[in-house]
Amino acid sequence: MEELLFTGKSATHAQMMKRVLDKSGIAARIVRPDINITHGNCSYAVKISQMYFGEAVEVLKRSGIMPVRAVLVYGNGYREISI
Amino acid sequence: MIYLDNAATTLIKPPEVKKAMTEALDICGNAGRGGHEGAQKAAEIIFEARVKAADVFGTESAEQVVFTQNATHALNIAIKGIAVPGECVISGYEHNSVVRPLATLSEKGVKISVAKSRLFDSDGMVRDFRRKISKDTKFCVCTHVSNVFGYILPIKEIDEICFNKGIPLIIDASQSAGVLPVKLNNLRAVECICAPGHKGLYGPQGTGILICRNGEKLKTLIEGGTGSNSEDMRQPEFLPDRLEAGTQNLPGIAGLSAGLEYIRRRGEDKILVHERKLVDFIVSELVKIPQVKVFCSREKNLQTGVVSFVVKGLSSEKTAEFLAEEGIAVRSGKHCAPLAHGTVGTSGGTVRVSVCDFTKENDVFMLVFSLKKIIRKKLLKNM
Repeated sequence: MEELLFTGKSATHAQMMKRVLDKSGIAARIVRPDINITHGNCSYAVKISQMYFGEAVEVLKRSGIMPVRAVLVYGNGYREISI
Repeated sequence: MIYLDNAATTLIKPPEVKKAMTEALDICGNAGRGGHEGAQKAAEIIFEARVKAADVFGTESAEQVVFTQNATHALNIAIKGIAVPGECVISGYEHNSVVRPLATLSEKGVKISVAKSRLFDSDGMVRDFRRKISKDTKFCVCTHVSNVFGYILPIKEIDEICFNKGIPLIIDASQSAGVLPVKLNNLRAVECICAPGHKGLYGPQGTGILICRNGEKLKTLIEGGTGSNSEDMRQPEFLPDRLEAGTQNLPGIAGLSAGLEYIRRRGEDKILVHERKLVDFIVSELVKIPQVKVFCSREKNLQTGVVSFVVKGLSSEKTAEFLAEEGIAVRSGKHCAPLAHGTVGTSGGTVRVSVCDFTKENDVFMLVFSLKKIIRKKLLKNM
């Protein structure tokens, strides 16, 4: 299954997203995204299953903790998803 | 040793503190510096500590919690980050960790103005803060509790004065964190709360906390690696990374996290009741000794678990030395707060007794017993 990354501006930001998602029953894992995804910067992201995308965006919006970007990762590629 | 120097650092910690530190040393890598298990575990520990600190200090977001080396470090970040040329009003009870950064900033056009009042005169302190704040005032700094006298300053009223005049306030919570509620969301002018991790929060030495309302606006004290925005040569603008350059004191923060958990579980109100009970006993006994002058408040709600006294004809250092010979640890001298001594008129310094949640009734009983013994000996020698 394809996976979705919500990138954070910092490790703390990514952890805040993870906490909110976990509390809503959406399994989320902290990862270091490929630097191509983060425009050459070191960063952190939360990884979730693509099937929870809509629900996850709603949860994050409600909490006021929005990701920097949402990126769908497939095979060796990725594409940004508008939120 | 009977340890009554908790205002300097708490010696007895909840057992979970040591356990958390040991575990962190065993399993953790560098937080925010990798995606592997060790780095992730470290980041989780730090994040948990942020969440607990946010709860204890009444902030909405864990991002507003910045970990520092100690309260002095936090105060330096806050004061130097906020300072612009102009006047800074402080209370007459400040520690050198406030006075010295401000004195250094005098080269950059910062002028210190001191609001004074008699000891435990809160109305007087509020009046003088109101009087001293002028059109040139750019910011204020106020300690919540005097580290020498345990005097609880009227921080809520000072916050209101600052808010009404649009002046940011920095609070030094070195002696109040873990004993009194210090909540950012209950204060309106406060920009920063600075606290040590190793005193009333029962963390280890080498830890401190800076709570920021708008920390992204503060000038940075140091710059460096944060594990974020690495392509940018400038320090990130977002918190906590903006104010946390370099590797964090992970074992220390793990211990502090356990200390914060202890505070949340036990409750500041219960700790304060315990400490006041012990100090009340000390005061009630010391006032009976003619050779002793004890600095205490008639109103119970104006003093924490810190009390100072002097023995007539005996220096504070000598008194503390004699008590140390009896196995009792107290602090003597100026307590790094000459301004407070100047305000109260205790230029020779004082003997400071400070209790904590782990101090027992027998500890303070022994203090009184030993002090009486020392004074009796002194009197016999003088006969």
